[in-house]
Amino acid sequence: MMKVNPVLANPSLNRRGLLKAGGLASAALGVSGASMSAKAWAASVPAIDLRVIDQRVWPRAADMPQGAPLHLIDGDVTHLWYDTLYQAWKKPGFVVAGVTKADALFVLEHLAWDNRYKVIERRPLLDDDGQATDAIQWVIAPAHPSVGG
Amino acid sequence: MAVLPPNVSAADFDKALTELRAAIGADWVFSSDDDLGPYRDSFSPIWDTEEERRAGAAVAPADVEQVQAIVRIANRYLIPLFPISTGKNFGYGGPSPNVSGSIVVDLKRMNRVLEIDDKRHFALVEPGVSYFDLYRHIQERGLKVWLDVPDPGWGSPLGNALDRGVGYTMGYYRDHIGASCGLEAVLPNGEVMRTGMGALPDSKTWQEYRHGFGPDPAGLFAQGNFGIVTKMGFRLYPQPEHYRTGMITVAKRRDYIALVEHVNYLSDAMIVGEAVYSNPLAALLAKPDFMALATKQGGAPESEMDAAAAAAGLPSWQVELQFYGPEAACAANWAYAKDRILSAIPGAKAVDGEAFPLPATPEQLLNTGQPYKTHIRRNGALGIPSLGIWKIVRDSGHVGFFPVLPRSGEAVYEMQRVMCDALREFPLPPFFSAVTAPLYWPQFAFQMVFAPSVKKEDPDHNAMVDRSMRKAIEVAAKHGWGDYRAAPIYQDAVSASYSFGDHALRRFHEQMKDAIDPNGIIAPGRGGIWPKRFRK
Ligand SMILES: Cc1cc2nc3c(=O)[nH]c(=O)nc-3n(C[C@H](O)[C@H](O)[C@H](O)COP(=O)(O)OP(=O)(O)OC[C@H]3O[C@@H](n4cnc5c(N)ncnc54)[C@H](O)[C@@H]3O)c2cc1C
Repeated sequence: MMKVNPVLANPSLNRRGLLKAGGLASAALGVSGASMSAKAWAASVPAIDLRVIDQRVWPRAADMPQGAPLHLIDGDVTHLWYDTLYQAWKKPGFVVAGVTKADALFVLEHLAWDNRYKVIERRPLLDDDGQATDAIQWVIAPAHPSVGG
Repeated sequence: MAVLPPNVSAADFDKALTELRAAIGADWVFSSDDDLGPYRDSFSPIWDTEEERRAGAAVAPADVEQVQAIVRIANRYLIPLFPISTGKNFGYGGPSPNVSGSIVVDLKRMNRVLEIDDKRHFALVEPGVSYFDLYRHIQERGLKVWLDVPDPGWGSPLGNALDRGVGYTMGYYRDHIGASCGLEAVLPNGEVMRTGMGALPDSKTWQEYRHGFGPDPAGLFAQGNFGIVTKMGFRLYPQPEHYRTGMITVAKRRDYIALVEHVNYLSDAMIVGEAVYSNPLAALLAKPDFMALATKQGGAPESEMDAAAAAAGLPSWQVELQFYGPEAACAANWAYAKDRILSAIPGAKAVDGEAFPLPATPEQLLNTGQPYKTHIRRNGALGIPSLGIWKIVRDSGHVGFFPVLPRSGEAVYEMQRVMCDALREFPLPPFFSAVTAPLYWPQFAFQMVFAPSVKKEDPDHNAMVDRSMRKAIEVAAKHGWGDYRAAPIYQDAVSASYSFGDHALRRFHEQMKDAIDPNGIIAPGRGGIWPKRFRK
């Protein structure tokens, strides 16, 4: 069963409210089956500016529904960082969610810290049987007044 | 719970934090556990133990005046400060201090490229300028200069150079502290000092003549604790027009000795950039018989290694050479290298690699076009910062021991044998064996790598890694090989191994430390230099 976080179903909540309420990753990404997660992504569009998919753990990225821009990686986050996040994180309020292996998240989390952003949610991606995989679903959002946190 | 520095009360620490907030703004003083997470060493083998070196707080000043204010407050409360530039020193302690409870001075906000010149080939930068920042600055302005970048590119020229980091282009530029030219530092008493020509008010050549007049103390700030560096100059490599690679192989194990001598010549004559050695027989390590041979007690007999190479149809050694410059010069230098080595070493062979004009295309950066298996880090070789190296990181990271050895084949064989035997008792991959190749990162020396991985969830493994590190430092030192760089938890052991003249160098450093930093507030313990009040 897909479990969509009820906050996302409430259009009166603004972005900031959503982030503060937490559960964004679960709404955006986390459902009981990986195949269902893709649909949940679509529901999170109002709150997320960028989606990141690590193709090592989610080769089905092509099936992704419409939504926030999608950046595919193969573990190496150099281009994601240099071409997109480098500028995006200099401005306040950018929210990025992803499904990656731990190594890619490690690098992104440290880059986020440098820019006063942080991982606000992180949990293992479940497979269709509800077992944890080696993929992590996460959300990175501002964590300091200088970037609207 | 805040970790307090030694001999500082919670009340005094709080007062200091209040003064720091007033001096630099409350938003830039961090003391909660959550805020201090980024200042832990996530590669630490003593993660989450009592011994883990943890910051008591962190501050992020915006300018030199704020750094001075921080230093003055720290002096009042005798609180140690630990300056970092980008704080990415993973494998050597990350952003974590030598002394728990220190206040990390995080200089990332000071991130201006102050000057860059592509006619006289230098840059002057603040500590928070990362390699990515400087690269972007150069690209956006179309400047014709290269950086020499280490991996990963999120570090900073200043932080990397202050730990004597290394890169991948031409020898002079690979040695990052060697290619620095003039610095500015806030001293432990809060004064601002400039070295070299920077000491001359209105100097016109700060980044062009490093020495100035009289002794040059710039070197004291690398792996030292004599101040907080707030500006640093670097020589930049004029962007070469063309790049070419080629590989030379030698048939017999003994041939390696002559090969190294020729490559030393090519390197010291500045004909080649980083020469990348590798041993094709490393591919055989998966076979138990060959693994047993390559790690044999007392060293693998030359005849057996030659027989293994012959049976596998592989050369004994190979080196990849890299040429930079005008197209004709690259071609001529490669022709010269081939001729020189092939005419001197029977059985040596040469294979042409890639050759292309610079800047490289995205495809060329992938380094998939070489007609042989290559070990060149192409981004680094072309001065382009990258994070791709992260793929080599295993488990929860690693700690690094990189002993420096002479550039000779005999020295390589000796280190392979001695370190392999010494570390045999530890259940680790064979970092040292008869196929371990030296790294040619320093300009005039080789290094080998011992970088066992750590596992956050496995303290027993980490304790074993810790023992292996300490043994490696000790055994190497007994054979005249020193480590070039170490995490805070190993700095005392490494420093103790540089013991000539009954530790004359360490005593000299201590005397200077006591004179320049009588309160011992700047990075006590860094480089193995402890101020008086911390010495046992
Ligand atoms: C996979 C991997 C590959 C690596 N490859 C390389 C490589 O190719 N080459 C290489 O050199 N390293 C390498 N490293 C090690 C390390 O990541 C880099 O050296 C990195 O550049 C160091 O971090 P930094 O630049 O952020 O310096 P920082 O962490 O900011 O500084 C390093 C140290 O210098 C001192 N310091 C920094 N700034 C100041 C200041 N302003 N005043 C006084 N003291 C200061 C501090 O003691 C600090 O701990 C690698 C690490 C990993 C994990």
